[in-house]
Amino acid sequence: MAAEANKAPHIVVTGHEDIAPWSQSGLIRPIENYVDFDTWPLNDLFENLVEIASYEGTIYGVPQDAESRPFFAWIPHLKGIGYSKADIRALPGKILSGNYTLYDVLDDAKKMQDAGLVKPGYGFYPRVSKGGDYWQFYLSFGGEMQDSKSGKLVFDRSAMKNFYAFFAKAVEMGVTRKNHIGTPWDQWYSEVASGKAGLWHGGTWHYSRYTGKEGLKDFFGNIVFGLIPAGDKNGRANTITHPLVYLVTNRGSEDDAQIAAQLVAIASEPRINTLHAIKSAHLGITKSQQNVPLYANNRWASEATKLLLPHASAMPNNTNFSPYFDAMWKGLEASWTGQKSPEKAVADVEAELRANLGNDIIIR
Amino acid sequence: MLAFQMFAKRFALGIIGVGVSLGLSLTPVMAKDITIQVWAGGSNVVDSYRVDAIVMAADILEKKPRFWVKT
Repeated sequence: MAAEANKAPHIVVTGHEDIAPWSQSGLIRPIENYVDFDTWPLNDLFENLVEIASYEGTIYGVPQDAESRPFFAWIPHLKGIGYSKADIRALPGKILSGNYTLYDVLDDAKKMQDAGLVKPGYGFYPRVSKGGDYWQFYLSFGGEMQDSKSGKLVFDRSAMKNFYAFFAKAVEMGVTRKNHIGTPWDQWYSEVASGKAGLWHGGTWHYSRYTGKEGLKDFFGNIVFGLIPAGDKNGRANTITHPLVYLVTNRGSEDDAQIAAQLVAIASEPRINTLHAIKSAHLGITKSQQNVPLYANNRWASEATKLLLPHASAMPNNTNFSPYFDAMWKGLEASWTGQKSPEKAVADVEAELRANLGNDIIIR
Repeated sequence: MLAFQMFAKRFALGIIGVGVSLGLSLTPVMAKDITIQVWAGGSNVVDSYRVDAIVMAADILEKKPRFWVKT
């Protein structure tokens, strides 16, 4: 509303998903009109992050931070079910190559419970609320969110069904609680940071929570991390990033916009961006940050950047994505809690998408 | 020149005064004060870095304005 009244700030930091609706409404200016992405420091940005900050081929924003959503496992429990130190070191590589799948996660979760290492329902301990993280599991089964040629959203029936079936199976095996969604976040953080859960997924920024408020002294001695594993041979190991972006609004004159855009460019210089990245346990936005001592000497930032960021994709910058997300989530909850079979849930999601989005979504 | 900067629990808002020379020509131009307002969401203490970075950028831009202009 402030933007519509031309009272918005000149620079806004927000999620990349705001680019599509705000650019269509004329509330933000294409930043590529004011700063040069072929010169320092913008030419050092990770290309996939610049793409995420764009809409219909125009660069509207500059990434402010990056993160990704890794898979985590509690090392003492892996050892408790027979993993050697070498096995644990090799796990991220096995995930990347597709040799450790989501169904291996469930098998290991069950072994941990059967061995009495964690309580029933704590073997696989996912995110407790709706979130973009769950799209990773759709990708794990070969799903695609957006068609790269047409820009339309994509609903892949088979991938969605297999994604739903995976969580239904986790509940059926007893490694995830049927009423897990809605668990308080504070409880969840405390449990995953203290070995009460076996395997889970979260965000790169969780590092600061685990080692800070939750008091985990030896992160790397207790937790191994990697990409979200593939679900089957159709899918791939993956992770989603949700960068915040600096946007220049329509407030003020062209001169104001040029200054605002220049400030954003300067703020994206690797050393300046590193201050926030390290303090907040986010990942950097430029390749050169791995040469900035503050960043390079931070084991978490350094390892997470190398392992996760090159494989990161994002939720689409598409104004129709919100209703698609809502429908996907309803279907997942219904499958998870047993209200519907995965097949029925997918059929209902498809019907809802056809009714609400029509030709704006590709259904296959 | 940092004119005003305010942080609250749910957001960080900075109003930054930048004295810069506008224009791309090689002839001298008059310096002009421009006030830029920046807003960043977030509820953590470290979220203020998103505004702090723009404040640092304003300081740098005042000292070396031409280096950053699109040519």
